[in-house]
Amino acid sequence: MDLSWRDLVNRGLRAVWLVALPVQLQAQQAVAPPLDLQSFPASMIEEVIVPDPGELFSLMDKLPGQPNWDSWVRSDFGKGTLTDRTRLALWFGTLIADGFIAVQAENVEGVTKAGRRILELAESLSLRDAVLPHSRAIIEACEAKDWPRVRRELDRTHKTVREQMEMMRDEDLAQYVSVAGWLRGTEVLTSLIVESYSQDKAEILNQPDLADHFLEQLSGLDAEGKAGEPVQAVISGLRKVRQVMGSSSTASLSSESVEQIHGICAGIVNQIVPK
Amino acid sequence: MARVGAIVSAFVMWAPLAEGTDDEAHAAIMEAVAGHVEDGFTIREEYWKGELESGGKKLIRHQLFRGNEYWFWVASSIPGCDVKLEVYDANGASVTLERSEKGRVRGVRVTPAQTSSFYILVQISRAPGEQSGKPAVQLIDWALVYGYR
Repeated sequence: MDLSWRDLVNRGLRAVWLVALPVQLQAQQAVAPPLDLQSFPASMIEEVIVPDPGELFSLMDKLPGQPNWDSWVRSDFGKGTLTDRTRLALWFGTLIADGFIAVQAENVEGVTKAGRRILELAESLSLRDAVLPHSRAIIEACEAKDWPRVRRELDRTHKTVREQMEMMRDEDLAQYVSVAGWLRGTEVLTSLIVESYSQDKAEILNQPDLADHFLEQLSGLDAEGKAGEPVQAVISGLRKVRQVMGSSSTASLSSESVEQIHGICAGIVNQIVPK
Repeated sequence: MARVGAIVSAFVMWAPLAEGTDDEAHAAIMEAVAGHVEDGFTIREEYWKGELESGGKKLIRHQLFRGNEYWFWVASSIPGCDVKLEVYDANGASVTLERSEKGRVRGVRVTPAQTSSFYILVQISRAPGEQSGKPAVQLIDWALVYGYR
C-alpha cells in the first residue's frame, strides 16, 4: 500500500491527537472550577490551625545559608515558679517552641532540658499525667537522636495540652499557649532571617492572617484575662506585628521590617519568660 | 415535667442524627497515610473535624508556605460517601496538583506558589439511594489531616 506524504502526516497527527486526548481529559478533570470566596457563608468557614514551629523552621533549612539554630537554644528555660495560670500558659507556649528550636539544632541537652521543663510547667498547670508520656517520649527519642519523632512528640504535647485545657474549660489558656509558641518561633525566625537576609526567607513571614487570627481569638477572651499585664503586652505587640506584616506591598518584607518584627516579638517573649 | 418530656421528645425527633465518629475517620486517614511518613512527610497531630449534612460544604482557611509540599486528606467514617476535597488560593483558583484515593480516604497534593492563606473545601454527600427509610436529616462526620515536607 502506497501512502502519500499527506496521508502519513494526517495519520501521524491523528495518532498524536488520540494519545494527547486522554491526557488532556485527565488534566481537565484535575482542575476544579474557580470558587467564589466572597459569596461563601461565614458560618461554613472553619478556624485556622496554627502551623507548628517545625513547619516554618524546616523551611529555613531548605533555603541557602545554614541557620545557626544552636545560638538560639536556651541554656536555661526560665527560672522561678509562677502561680498565675495565664502566665504559665504563655510560658508553656514558648517552651514548646524552644523544644522545636533545640530539635532543629539537634542539640540533645537542649531538647532534654526543654522536655523536663515542659513537664514541670505541666505539673503547675495540673496537667502532669497527660504530659508525662510525651515528656518521656521526647527525652527517649532525643537520646536516640530520632529527631522526626521528637518533633512529632512536641506537636502531640501541644495538642494534648490544648485538648486538656479545653476539657477543663480553660479555652483561654489554650489560646495563650498557641500564641506564645508562635511569638517565640517568630522571634527566632526573624533573627535568623536578618542574619542572612533574602526575599525567599522573608516571605516565610507573610502571615498577616495568622496575626489577625490570634488578635481575634485574644480579643474574644474574658475581660479579666485581657486585663492581665502579660496578655495586654501580647495583644499590643501582635497589633504592631500585624501592622508591619501588612505594610509590605510584596509577599516579602524588607530586612528592616523583619528586624522590627524581631524586636517586637523579643520584647513580648522577654516579658513572658520569668528570669 | 410532662411538658419538659414533650419538648425533649420533640427535640430528639428533630435533632439531626449523626452516624460514626470523626475519630474513626481520623484513624482511617492515619492508617492510609503511613507511606507518606516513610517518604519524609510530617503528619500534624492537630486536625480538623466536624459533621455536615449531606451535600454540605466546609471551607477551611489555612496558612501554607512556599517551599513546602503538602498533602491534605479527608475521610468520613460512613462508607460509600462521596467525599470531595479541593484547595484554592486567595483568588479562588484551584491549586490542587494531584489527587489520591485509598479506601474511604481522599487526598490532594499542593505545592504553594507563594506563602499565603489558602482555602480547603470539604464537601460530603451521602451515596445516592441511601436516604430511603432513614430520617430526613442525618449528619455525616468528617476529619481532615495534613502533612508537609
